[in-house]
Amino acid sequence: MSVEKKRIRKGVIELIKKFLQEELKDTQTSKLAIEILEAYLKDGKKGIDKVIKKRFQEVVKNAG
Amino acid sequence: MPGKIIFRELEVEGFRYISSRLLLNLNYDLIILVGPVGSGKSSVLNAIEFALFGTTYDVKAMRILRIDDLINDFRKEMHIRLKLLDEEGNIYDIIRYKELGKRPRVRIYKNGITILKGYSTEKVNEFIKDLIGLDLEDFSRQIYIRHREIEALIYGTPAQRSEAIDRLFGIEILERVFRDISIKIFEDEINRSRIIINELQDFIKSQDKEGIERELEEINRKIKEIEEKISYWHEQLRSYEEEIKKVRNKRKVYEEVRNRIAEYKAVIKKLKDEVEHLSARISPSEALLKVEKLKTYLANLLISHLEYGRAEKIKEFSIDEENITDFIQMVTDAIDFLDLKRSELVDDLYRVKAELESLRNNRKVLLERLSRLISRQKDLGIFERQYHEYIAKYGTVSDIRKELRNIDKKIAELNGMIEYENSLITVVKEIIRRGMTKCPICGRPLSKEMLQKIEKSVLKSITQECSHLIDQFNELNNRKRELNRVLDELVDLERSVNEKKLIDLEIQDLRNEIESIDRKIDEYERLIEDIEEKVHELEVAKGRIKEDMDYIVSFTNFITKQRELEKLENELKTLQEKLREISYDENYERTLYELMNKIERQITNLESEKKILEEKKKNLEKALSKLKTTITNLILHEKRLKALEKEKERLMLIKNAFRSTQTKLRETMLRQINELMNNIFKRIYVYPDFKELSIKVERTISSEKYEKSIYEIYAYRTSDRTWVPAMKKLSDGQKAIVTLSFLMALFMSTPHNLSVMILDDPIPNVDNLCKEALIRLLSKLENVRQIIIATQDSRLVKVLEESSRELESKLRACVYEFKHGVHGPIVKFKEITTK
Repeated sequence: MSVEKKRIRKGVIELIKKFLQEELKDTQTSKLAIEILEAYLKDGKKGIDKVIKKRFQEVVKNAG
Repeated sequence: MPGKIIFRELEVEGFRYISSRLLLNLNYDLIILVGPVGSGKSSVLNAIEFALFGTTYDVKAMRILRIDDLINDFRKEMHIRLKLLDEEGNIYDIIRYKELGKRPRVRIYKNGITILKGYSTEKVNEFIKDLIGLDLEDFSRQIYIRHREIEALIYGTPAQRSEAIDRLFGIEILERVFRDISIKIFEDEINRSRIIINELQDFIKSQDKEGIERELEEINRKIKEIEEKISYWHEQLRSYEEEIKKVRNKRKVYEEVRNRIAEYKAVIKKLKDEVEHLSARISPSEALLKVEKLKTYLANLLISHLEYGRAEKIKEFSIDEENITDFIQMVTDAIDFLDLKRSELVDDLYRVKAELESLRNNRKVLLERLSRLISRQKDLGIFERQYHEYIAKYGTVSDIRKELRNIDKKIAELNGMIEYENSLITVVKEIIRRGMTKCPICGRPLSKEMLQKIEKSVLKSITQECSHLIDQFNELNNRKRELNRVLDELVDLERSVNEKKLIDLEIQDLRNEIESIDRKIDEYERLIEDIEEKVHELEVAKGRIKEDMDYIVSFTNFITKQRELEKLENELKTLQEKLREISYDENYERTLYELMNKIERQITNLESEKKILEEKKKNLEKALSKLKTTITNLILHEKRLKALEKEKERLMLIKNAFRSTQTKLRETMLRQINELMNNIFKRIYVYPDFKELSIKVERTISSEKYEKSIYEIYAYRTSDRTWVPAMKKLSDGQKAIVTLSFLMALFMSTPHNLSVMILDDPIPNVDNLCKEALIRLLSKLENVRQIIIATQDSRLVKVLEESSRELESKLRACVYEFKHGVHGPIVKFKEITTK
């Protein structure tokens, strides 16, 4: 991939992250959204499922 | 910005529908591949894609094929070579080769020099990406526009169209992430928690907590009261137990004494009976008289057995009631002594009897022997008489032997004489036979007469003499034979005579011995009589002593029992006294037991009551505990539900944020493309009814309350001067032109190094005027140096041929016409060059 192309692709992802942060005022929520995005980029649907399952377990655990 | 690389040549063999080698010259600005469905057009386009990336979009992204599926069914390998030309005039040859079941191989030349070779690796892919500035995904999105994408844009629903445009923009990730964020796990858990919470709440409502607590308090109070009562009764019970322990010990002693008294009474009664019985048959004076008599008798008896010491002791022993036991012992010792004596005598008796028996057996043996000897002696007596008769007749053995020697001497003499006479006869007979004239013995002359005379008288005389001698000889020989026979018999007889002499001697010895044994037998028989008499005497004495002793012993028993009776009667009195002293009351003990039983029953009842209450308490505590646990669980579940709902809300927010971002991004992307697309449309679409295009993003809210946006393309209708939705109001041909405008605008607005555009059946329903306009536009496009169009529509070729003369700029075009063949496509080439 050319440097320019990579920059553009990277630019799109950064733009998405920026938009997400703008949409989600809560820092924790925006962090989670970005974590989900990155998990998708890394591992597709499996990555997202993993993050959600982890969150689910944390919530259940913290709730006692 | 689009780059400057174009395709120059393509060589394909064994790929998909193309079985035999197919070489396409791509050194044209516009290349049209025309032919019916399945004639190999798409195989050529796929071959370009495979040459660049070693795979195809269908294999990698869609996963509907494997690489081996790309190999022609009649071949075991495929071979593709693609020649590229860059702006600086460098020629790149990309050659890919693949055998069935093996890894694909690749070789890249630059200006005829190998720069890369080997397997299709990441390194090769990186090289291609750097060269053309695109990966497979971007290539499929921006260069190689497939028919299905065009169809999705023209005929798809607004959502499908929007997704297709997102794919072309490369921002489809947002929709995918939105869809892949699944909150089902939270929803399921929230539903489950709600059900549990409802159940818990129902349970809590059905329970009366305060009522349970009040009841529990009441039960505790009752249990305490019962415990106090039990404690009191246990205390009472302990005091009674101590008292009863004392009474029991007293009873034990009382019963012991009472039993002993009973035993004493029984013994005393028995003794009294015995004493009474003895006193009826025993007199003390008679007993003492018997003792005195026994003393004397025993002393005499002992003396007769030479036991003077023992006899003296008995004589001197003075008896009274006190020492009568000692006397009895003394007498018993004496009896034992006499028994011993008797035993010794009996032993002697047995011994003597045994010896006597032995003597008798011996005598019997000797008598048998004597009898045999006498019989033999008698037989030998006959031989003795015969012996004496022979002696008398022939003399002794020596006499006979002497006579035999004389006979032998006479026989020898007679033998000599007979031999002499025989020799004389022989001589005479020889003289006569020879007629001799001289006597051979004396030498005197012999006359014939003499010879005759000799023959008659001499021979007669000699013969008579010889006969007499032979008679003597025979007589002597007869005598000799007789004497020899007599001698043999006499020797045998002499042996018998000698034997008889020995037997005589032995018979005499035996008789002496038998006599001696007879004497001994007499002696032993007398001895046995003596011993038996002594034994008898001792037995008689023992009987008498025993008789006296029985009386004396009975007397002694009588005295002893009398004394014992007195003693027992005294002891009985003592025990009766002791019994009176023990103050044991049986009724008191019974009363105590009854009281204790009553208390124990009372305690048992109280404990049962307590147990029931405790059971009840346990159940209430259990119910209370369960209730408390349920309340705690309810709180926990409520907390959990809240947390889950909060997290679900958060995820929904995130999902919505992705959708909002999608909208924003779509708007951002459109800003770059809108004007470009409009310009292209204006140049292709030649009719006056629509003159402008605009693409917008429109927001809506989905049924799940998520924000949603779609692309909507508007066309400016000149008749009423309004913007109408192009995909709803325009015809299919018009929509195809709108789509093509959009795709070309997208191609021109994205940066890469390829100056090639590949369109797979882009304008199926467009009329000739628009096709002509399209060709015109393509000839003028600044950033596109090469366009490859695959189409089933042969009218496009015609339009190209007709419009080529009128094009403003020079356009180098060619047509490859594909037809179905038996072993693959049949391709015809046609070059079309404008002015």
